[in-house]
Amino acid sequence: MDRDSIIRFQELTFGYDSRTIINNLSFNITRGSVVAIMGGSGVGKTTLLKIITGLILPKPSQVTVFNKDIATLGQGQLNELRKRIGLLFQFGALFTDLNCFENVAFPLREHAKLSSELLETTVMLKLECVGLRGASHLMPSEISGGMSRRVALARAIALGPELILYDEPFSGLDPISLGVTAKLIRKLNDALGSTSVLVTHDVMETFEIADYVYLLGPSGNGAVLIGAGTPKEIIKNRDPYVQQFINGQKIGPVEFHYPAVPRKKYFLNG
Amino acid sequence: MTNKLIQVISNFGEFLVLLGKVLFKLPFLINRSNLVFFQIRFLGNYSLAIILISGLFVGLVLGLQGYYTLRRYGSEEALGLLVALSLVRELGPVVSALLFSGRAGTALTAEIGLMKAGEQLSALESMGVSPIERILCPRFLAGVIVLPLLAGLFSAIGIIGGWIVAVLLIGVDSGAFWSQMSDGVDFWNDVVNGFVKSFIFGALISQISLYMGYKANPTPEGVSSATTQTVVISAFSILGVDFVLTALMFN
Repeated sequence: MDRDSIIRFQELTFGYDSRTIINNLSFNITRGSVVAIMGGSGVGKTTLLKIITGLILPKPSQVTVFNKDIATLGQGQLNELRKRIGLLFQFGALFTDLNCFENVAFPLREHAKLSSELLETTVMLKLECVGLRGASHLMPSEISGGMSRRVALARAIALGPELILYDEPFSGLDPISLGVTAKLIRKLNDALGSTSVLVTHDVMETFEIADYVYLLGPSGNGAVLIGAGTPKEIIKNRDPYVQQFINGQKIGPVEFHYPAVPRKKYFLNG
Repeated sequence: MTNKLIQVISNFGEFLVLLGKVLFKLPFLINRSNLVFFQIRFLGNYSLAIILISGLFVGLVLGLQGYYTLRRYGSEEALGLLVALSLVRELGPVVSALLFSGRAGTALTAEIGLMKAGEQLSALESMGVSPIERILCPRFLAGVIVLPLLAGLFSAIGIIGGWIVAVLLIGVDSGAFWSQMSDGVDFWNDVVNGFVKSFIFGALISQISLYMGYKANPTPEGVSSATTQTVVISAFSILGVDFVLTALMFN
């Protein structure tokens, strides 16, 4: 057990009722790195993020965050832990009744007792980081999807978290915002000295900024770890699933067609 | 059938658990009084117009219908008493509760359901802020405070409506109208009982609306069916609880 790992999965198995979603996952995420957890849609990546923040509780001694077993924490300790984690939701999840400034100010108002001048300066600095200081007075309904993602990012880093979690930060962004967001994630991580975990399936952008990549793939019984390594190692990985995933091929271990009656039989009444 | 029954009972259990959590968190609202004030203003304003207009018409109709009955016994002067008692004891709390659930309760359910659909509740939780404390509690308390006030306004404007019909239209003596009323209406037995009723209705409707929104499926269909359910279940429980309360108050 190295002391530098901020998140530890130890043989994590998780599922709802009879369906297993994550099967026997073990790896550590080290302090200061940008780590990507990749995998196809519906493979359980978001579930993994929710487990890290304790929004979904795993079984005891399977997940450790900041050297604390998530499953055994009380509500108060869990809230303390969450103050050290910034979570960026896939669609931002901004509070629609508050404007951008108030959205970013929200965690500060809740958890930090700041004077109003200091609060304003802090919020404006965070918005400056994401390039939206000029939009502080706008409501979430008045800004584009890419912008609201950036406001949400400013909100996630408002308390200066040690760990920032990104849920699909690249999905639904235009190419320009996409590149900007990717660089922003890397820059923020290095500037704040924090650790970033990205859950994503955008190969190109992720490989540019990530230090380490974990690739999850489907199996008969929940998601399993298929490949792990630096982006360069992953590209060289000869595993057919890994190759299919990073090159976006139709032919490979993952079938394009959902299981069905054979074509010939269905269309030609054979 | 049995499954459905189990479902109903387990939902009721969840409802009580959520109510318990909300009540437990209420004292923490001291630091968030501005949220409560905002919700009071919002919910109150939302239902004020419909409450006042309906109150006036209910009063007008009561005046006419009451006159129709009382005239047979030659006791038109008791019209004021009849209007005031029916409004303060029964119609004020019940009708304003029904209107409130249709106007403000549905808004609460839809708002919270959409917050859930937009992951805003999860976002709160992930920031270490309890959605129950931040979102549900202020709305619950505001509902409990607002409904008795609205019911009071409903009864007041209803009595004015009754006065308009009795005195201005029919020509009942204005002095008799008011003196019969002030003699016959007991503060503790009538006014306070009505107030207690609307206080309980306020807690009931707020909690039903909040529960429905909080447990709604975070999809368009889920939110819309939760909103419908709010009205239906609120109406049933208002009328049911009203019967129990009335029976208790009559001893």
